Amino acid sequence: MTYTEKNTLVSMLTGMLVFGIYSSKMYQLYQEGRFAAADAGVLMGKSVLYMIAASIIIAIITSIIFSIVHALATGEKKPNFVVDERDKLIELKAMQFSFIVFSFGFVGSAIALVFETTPLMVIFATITSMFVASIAGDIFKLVCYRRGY
Amino acid sequence: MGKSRVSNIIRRLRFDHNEMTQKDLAEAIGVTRQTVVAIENAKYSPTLELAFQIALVFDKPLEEVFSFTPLKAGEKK
Repeated sequence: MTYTEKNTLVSMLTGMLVFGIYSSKMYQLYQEGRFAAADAGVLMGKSVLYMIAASIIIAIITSIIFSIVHALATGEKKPNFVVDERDKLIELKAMQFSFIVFSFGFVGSAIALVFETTPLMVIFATITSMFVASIAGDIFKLVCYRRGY
Repeated sequence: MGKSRVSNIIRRLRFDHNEMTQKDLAEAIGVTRQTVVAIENAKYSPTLELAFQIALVFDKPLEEVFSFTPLKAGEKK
């Protein structure tokens, strides 16, 4: 497995971790009935902002830890950071796939609105589809790298 | 993502060039070794620029390094 593949795997696992923590926190708030309160929208907005900040910090930390572990495990002082045309094409294809997955989630959320689902649940569904799309994009990228292109 | 219709003789050319490794070729053309592997196995068709660079490394004309198999009548892409 190459450095890029491992990096993609780490990014995917980090995404899953962040989403897992976020979902459990949201479920906890839901159980406490916080989303039934008048300031539920504010709470949701804050949670999204915290989640974005936390995911950036976690991504930076895991990236540093990964680089150190990779250097120790392989003995490579300088990993190969060359990004060539194939990498860029795979990245673009993965982004395209990710966008398609997100579009389905977004349309699904809009359909849920038609069936009188609460706007907060729709926002959560949209966030979920965003995470699922990101993970799907990473899986797509891994498959491309494994197959050659 | 199957086999490309663009085939090549890079493997043989590497062998003829003092058994040049895939890593050496990758460094010479500024790509990763995995990209060289994908091109050699006809899994990935390089851009025209990269194809020219590869041909230049082996000092051969482009059409000698790469060949293209056109679709037969009724054959799907």
